[in-house]
Amino acid sequence: MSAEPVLSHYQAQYRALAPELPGRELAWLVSRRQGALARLLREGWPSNRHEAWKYAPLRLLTGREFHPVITPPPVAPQALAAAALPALTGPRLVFVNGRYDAGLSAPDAAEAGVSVQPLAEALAEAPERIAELLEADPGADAEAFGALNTAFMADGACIRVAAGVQARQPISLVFLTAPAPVRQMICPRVLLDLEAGAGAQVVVHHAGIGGTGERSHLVDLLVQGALAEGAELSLLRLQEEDDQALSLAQLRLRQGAASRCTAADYALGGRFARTELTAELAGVDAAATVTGMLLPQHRQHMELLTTMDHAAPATLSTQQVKAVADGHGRGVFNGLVRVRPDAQRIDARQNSANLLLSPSAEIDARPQLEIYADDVRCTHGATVGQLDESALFYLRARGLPLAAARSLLIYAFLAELLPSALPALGERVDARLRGELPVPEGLA
Amino acid sequence: MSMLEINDLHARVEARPILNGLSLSVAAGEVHAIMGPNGSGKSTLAGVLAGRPGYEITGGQAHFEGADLLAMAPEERAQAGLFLGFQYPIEIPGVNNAYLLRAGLNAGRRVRGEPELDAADFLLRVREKMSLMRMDPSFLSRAVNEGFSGGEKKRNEILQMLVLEPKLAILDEIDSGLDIDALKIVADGVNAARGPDRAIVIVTHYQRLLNYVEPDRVHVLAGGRIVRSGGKELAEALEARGYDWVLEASDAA
Repeated sequence: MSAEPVLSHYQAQYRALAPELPGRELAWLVSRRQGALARLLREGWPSNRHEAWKYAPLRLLTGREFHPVITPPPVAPQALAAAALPALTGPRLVFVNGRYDAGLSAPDAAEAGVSVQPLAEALAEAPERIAELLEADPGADAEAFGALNTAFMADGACIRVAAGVQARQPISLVFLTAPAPVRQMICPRVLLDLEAGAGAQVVVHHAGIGGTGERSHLVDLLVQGALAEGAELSLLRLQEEDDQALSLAQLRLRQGAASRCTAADYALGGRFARTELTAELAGVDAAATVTGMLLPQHRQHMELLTTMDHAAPATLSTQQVKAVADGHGRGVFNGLVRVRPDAQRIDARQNSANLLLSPSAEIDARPQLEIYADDVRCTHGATVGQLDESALFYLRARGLPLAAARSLLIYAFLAELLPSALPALGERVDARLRGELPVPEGLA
Repeated sequence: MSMLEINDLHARVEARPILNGLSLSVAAGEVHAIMGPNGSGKSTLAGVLAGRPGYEITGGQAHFEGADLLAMAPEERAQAGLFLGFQYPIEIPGVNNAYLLRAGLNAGRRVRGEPELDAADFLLRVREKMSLMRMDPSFLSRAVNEGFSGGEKKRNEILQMLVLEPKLAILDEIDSGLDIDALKIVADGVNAARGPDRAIVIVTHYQRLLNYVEPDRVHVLAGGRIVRSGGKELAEALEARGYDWVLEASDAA
């Protein structure tokens, strides 16, 4: 199927759905949706000739018709309990196939000065602020899949933290996906608005919950975070989609002076999973710390593309990315550091360490530097290796079975990227690596 | 029946023959020292017995308590009670000592049908051995051998042996790189492990460890074969007269 019929499919879908999309009464939003759709129709899909899409199996995205979801299936609380990370007790919004599920959610657990709302509610309550947040980041829907999200975003979240307020409890957004009769397209939009000196931890968790039906759905997530001066955000995303799913995520952070952002992306699921993480360090002394983990196995293809955009002096970016590829899995890390003219006294560090576990697996790790200033310290390194045979023998010589020794070494390789505050995440990673075996409890 | 019975063992690394018809018999309760000049095949013998990858067995057999040792995976040998003390212990960042020890111990207990040790019982057992090896309990939570000095690594090997309680311990150059204090601690550990049900094979270049651990039998390995065997006085003669004396004598024979 060529791309054009698929594009006209989205045009027809939009016409049919527009009257039901949230914010349909807001002229600016309708115009923004239409503009995004028109851009998509005009410019079409990216191709493998685009550097940023060089390795991607694009036909999985562009050669098929996906259907925006209107009515998700009901999900029992037990299914949520089984899928959700335990020990996250703060406010929680739960989405089923992209639609907000009030019954499963607990937005009211938010503290004073912290607002956690589903997108439709926030649009109704404070449309001006939402408009401002969207206007401030025109790059978000400049390209095809961002435009697709803007045109079809049906739900999502808006998290706002007032000036000087530190949210103590982590805020979680749980996106559950169940198979459906048709191939679904799910376009959540998440807006994070941290005022000056505000602090928050946000956990975004995608989990496939199984069931019968079409499993090769597309999730096209777009997260936009605005950190005002001195704000601190910890954003952690765990992607455990169905292994047939296509999972796209854009995480876009705009950072004011002296703000701190710690962003971590853990890709475990999906047939094709791609995260584009952009930090625009727009204020002096802003700092971004990025952690990425990709675990492609079987036929999974996973990509992480980061852009650290040093637009102001004395900004700092630190990136640490690890991929472990097994089977026919493929991992791609593309890390761009851009230092704008006059952005002096920059410190940018990037490290990518990778393990190839099978001769059919592949990892492509590429640092890219675009530097237009001269007082800049940039370091980058990328290694691709295999499991250390001597360490494997040492463990086996102490009695550990081969499979346990292997997964222990892989887990140890990844362990430094796992947050100690969220041990359940380590358990998920470990379960992914070794199937049903229990978590090694003794990691140093 | 011997605990370890090696018969006419031949092994090579890539195309190079290293062991050329080695035979050795070690009974429970005995301590054997295998000595020899560099390149004689000492570490190859230790590696072949423990199942280290990279060797090709081209002839002969090795039996451990009657079982065909060479057919077993490295972990099966360990679970059956064979322990290799490494000449160069491996650093494993991210995996802590306590975890490795308990996982190894419990892997053996599972195979023997014994209940696994819980964390408390395990700690009780390991603390006592650590004090014998003069190791601070903080070593337990450190990554395996990471950042350990040469002496600490060797003491850690002996600690593992004491905790795992193998039937047969093969200690590959466990004395190399140790100062005299560390050598005595290692020797104390080895002596503590001696017992009627356990065999210990000490592979070494030098005689000095044998001043503290008295062997029942001493063998000289040269050219991949045992060329001479004797009692502890053989080690003393080697120390006084060097290896050339034995090698010349065996060539003449």
